[in-house]
Amino acid sequence: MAAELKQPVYCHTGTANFAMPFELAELARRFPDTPFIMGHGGASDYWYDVIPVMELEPNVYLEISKVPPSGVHSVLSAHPEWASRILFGSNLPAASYPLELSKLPSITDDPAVRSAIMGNNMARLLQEVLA
Amino acid sequence: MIIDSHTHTGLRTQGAAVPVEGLIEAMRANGIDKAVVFTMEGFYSNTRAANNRLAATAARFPGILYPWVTVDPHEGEAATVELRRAISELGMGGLKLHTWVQGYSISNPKMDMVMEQVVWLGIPVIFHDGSPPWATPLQIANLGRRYRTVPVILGHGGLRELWPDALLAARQLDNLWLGTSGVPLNGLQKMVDTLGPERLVFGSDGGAGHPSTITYRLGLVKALRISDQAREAILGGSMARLLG
Repeated sequence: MAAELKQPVYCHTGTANFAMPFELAELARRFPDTPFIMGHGGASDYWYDVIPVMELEPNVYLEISKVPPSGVHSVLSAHPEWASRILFGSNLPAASYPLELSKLPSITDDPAVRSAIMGNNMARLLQEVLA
Repeated sequence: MIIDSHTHTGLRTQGAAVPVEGLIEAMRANGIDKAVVFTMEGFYSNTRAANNRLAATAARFPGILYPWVTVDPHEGEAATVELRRAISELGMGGLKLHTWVQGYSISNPKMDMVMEQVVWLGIPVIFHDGSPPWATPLQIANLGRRYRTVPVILGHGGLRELWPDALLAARQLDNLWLGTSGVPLNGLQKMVDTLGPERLVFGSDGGAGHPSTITYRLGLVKALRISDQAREAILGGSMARLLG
């Protein structure tokens, strides 16, 4: 249904009662035209699966709430081209905006990458919905 | 011929040795001809000593016990040295890894160095599987996808909860094999009905525990609604191909 409506799909991933990243990958493979957002990047303990999953399925996006800035930085260092696949999320109300926003300088000091993460990437996904 | 693809012997956490005679007796009682046997203490302590101990134990029962090596990828290059030693000098036939107890994710990049050595040695590898967050069937599948020439056994077929993931993976990748120890009866039936028996290998996960474990796990395969031929494959024919 999401594919028909051209909606992106957000999945909470991570320890212990959320989805596992590789399970999300299976879904992403079956619906290659639907963007799948890996909520929380599998935090805490599925962190090792993030890069393999994003390498495997190009329609998986990384949402960064609960992810430490150093983790996002290391993903970007390994794959600078994935700046278009990283999405800022806060996990409010379980978090605070100032604290979540303060992660950004440790993730990147490139203003274009910041704009992408902070809004342009998600806007693009949503535009594809509205189109 | 019945081959148990998944048994353990060695030292318990308190250091007391598991008498291998218990495994041998349980095999005889259940008509099991051969068993692949893994360490216990080698998952969390000196792998070289554990591999030596395992080789010595198995050497007392040639043609019956088939010891497989365990290494610790945290050791980097030293792990590949030990892997080569165990295969060429100790005569071991495959690699067993327990990423959960040993403390690393199957998706950890440290695995590549070990897997490249596995490819070079031309051996199969068996993983404990079914245990998030570091030993899941789909993580193993991704490894198997990247090393297609390696026979990769999901040691517990995904266990009670993740066997559907294990089956899904084995349908996609023909170098993945499914061990039966841990899969419930309905899962085993679904596996053989979907996949056929050629990549299903009976395993008990016995050896260190009560012998009834072996009888029970063997009973699961005997209870499957399948042809005699299929049963023979699962009970030993499939695994015999990996014992080479």
